[in-house]
Amino acid sequence: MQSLFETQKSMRQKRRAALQRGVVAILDVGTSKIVCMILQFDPSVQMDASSGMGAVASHGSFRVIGVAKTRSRGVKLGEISTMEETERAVRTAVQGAQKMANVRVDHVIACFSGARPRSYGVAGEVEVETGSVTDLDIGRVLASCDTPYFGDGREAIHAMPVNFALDQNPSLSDPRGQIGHLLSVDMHLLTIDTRVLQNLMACVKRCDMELAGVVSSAYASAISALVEDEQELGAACIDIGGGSTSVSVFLRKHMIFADSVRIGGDHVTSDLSLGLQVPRTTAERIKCIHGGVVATSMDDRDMIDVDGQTGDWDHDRRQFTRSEIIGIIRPRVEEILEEVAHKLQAARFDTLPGQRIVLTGGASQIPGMEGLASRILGQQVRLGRPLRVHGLPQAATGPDYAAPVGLALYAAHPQDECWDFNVPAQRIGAKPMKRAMQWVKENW
Amino acid sequence: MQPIDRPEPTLGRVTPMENINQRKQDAPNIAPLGEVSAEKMERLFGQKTPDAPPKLDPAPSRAKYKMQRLWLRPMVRGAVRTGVPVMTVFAIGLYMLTNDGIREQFTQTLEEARSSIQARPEFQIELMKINGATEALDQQVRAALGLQFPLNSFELELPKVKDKIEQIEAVKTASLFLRSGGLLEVDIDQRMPVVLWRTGRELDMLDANGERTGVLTSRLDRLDLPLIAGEAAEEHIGEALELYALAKPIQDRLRGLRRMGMRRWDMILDRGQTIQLPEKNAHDALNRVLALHAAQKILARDVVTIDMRDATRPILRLTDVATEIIRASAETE
Repeated sequence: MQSLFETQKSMRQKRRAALQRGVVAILDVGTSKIVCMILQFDPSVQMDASSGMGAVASHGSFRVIGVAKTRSRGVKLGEISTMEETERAVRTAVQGAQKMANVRVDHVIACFSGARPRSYGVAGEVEVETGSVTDLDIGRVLASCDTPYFGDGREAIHAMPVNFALDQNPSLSDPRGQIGHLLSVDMHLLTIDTRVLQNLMACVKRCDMELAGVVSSAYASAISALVEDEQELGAACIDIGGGSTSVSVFLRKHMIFADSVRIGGDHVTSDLSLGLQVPRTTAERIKCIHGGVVATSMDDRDMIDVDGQTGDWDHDRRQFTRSEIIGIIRPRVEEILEEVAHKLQAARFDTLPGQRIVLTGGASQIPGMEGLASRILGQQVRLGRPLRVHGLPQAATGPDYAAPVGLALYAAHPQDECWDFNVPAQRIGAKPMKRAMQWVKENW
Repeated sequence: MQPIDRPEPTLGRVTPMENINQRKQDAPNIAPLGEVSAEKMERLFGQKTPDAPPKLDPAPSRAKYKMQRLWLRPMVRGAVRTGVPVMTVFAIGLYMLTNDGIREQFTQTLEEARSSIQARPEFQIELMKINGATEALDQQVRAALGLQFPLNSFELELPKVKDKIEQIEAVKTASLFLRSGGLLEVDIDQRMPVVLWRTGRELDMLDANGERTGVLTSRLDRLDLPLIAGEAAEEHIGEALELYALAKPIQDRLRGLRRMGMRRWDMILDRGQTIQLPEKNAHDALNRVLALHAAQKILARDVVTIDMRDATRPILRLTDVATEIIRASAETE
């Protein structure tokens, strides 16, 4: 298995090839559902963008031409647990989307929420060689960041330069072409369990497709749910999914922190299932139809039929009040939000200038969620919905589609990452011929 | 002991079968519940019995998934949608062409269909009608064509028939029409003879343009037509006719016109008399002869030849007898 750095680089190339073909698939492997979207890019806009942009040109307008959703199987806590099952579910989603789009896709950009993401802020400093900052200087300064020890079997999935500083100018988003002497960078590294990513890659490969990018779902749902000034001033996006809840913090339009809580909506369902003695499907149904987190006196009189599906007449004809159901749901939701609050505290979220908190994900649709969250997380809580995307069906515009929509936005406007820049030859051990060419280029 | 095969006593009870039959007789429109089929029950009560539990895992099989992805390739799709039908048609065509039996059968059925259509009464020609021809020419055309009616119009090649008719000398042009009702109509533009041309023993009938319209063996057949003779006489029929018209006063004596040396006319009268006309101004010369005749009865005299070739004076050649008489009278004087 080649290192993740090389893999990321090759995935970049594949993504570029896919965008040139104009069709790329988005795959959100969640715990409760798997969504596949097929995007079609407008080649004319691409050409405009590629003329004057940076290392990775931002690609222009796209259109969703196929969406398919299927119940997720074999995924636990945002990680693939049964490869065979997950492969079948991915096949179902991809086939449905292909059928709708009537187009074959070979390249997939995937996101997942599990794999225990961990954030690191690293910094690097380097002297500018030629007086003005070039792409090479940026590569060098990114390479100069001293990376901490991640732990065994962990590698970086995202390595985004968050902030550049040139001499005394502390906040530059793009220092290229500027005159200066000392270039320093703050980089946000997001590491994950390598095994989880390898499993995902194997799963996609078994579906005859190639992985053209991997994104943490915390990042993906944030770029679709946070509006621009929230990203600029500082905000946290909390995507409460089925198996895990991902947290990401944005400042100055860059993700500066991401983490995940391994509790989600499925745990609420299993609580209900245990508490009411009903199958999971029934519990899920009750949660979606009658769920809530704030009980009122009206709810005491709201009787809900609960069918246990056991064949036992007495067992299958039970009734519960809505208050009882809320009483089961609420502690679990509170637990999730408290965990999130801990994560945010660890990220020193309270020091940011803006402290907006945006809730997305399927579980954020529980009635009363906003009020409960504002009691636990802080006053500035709102429910987020993903950005409107061209060609997206109405059924796929809810908060539970924040991650796939964000992934589509990411495919259209990818963030420059560490591996998009040419890291100096001695660091990556490039071939001697390339080094000779570099020498010729620099000296003549 | 009692026999064990004794039938069970009915004791006045009705068996279920009898019950059903009795009910059928009483109310034939109401079927007992046990006889109603499952479909009818569904229809009656609006409920469907579940036939199979719903499929929990709708995932496509790996082969199906791959087939669908293959089908989404534009090249594969195009090949299957156009290539395979074209190849199939091509292969079938090739097989049928190379197989002699099939090909023969094919041509045979084609031939049969063709002949069955051709044999329809709409395509039969019953009779031929010839317009614009004399009785004699009519007979001639019929004899020349030699058609045996009824005739199939597919077998009749009208251009050839037209050529054949137009090969007859008396026919200038012919046009043929196939009329409904099995009628072959032939419109003939006949050449009308205006003059007889003696060539050796035969008499050619010529029209005004000098085209032959027929052959006569006897002058007596067409006494109404003027007679000409001589080499290349047929090229100057107009002139000959004019001279004939001019010679009306002596028509009863006129025998014919002879072309002399392919350049001028001799007018032949009976009693061996000849009026030699010049190449040019033959009209004037003839007029002068006629004037002489009118004044002095010159043609009634013993003159063999009146030579008008010299425009200044006519030269006469007398008969030998007249010459003798003149000579004798001169000697006597």
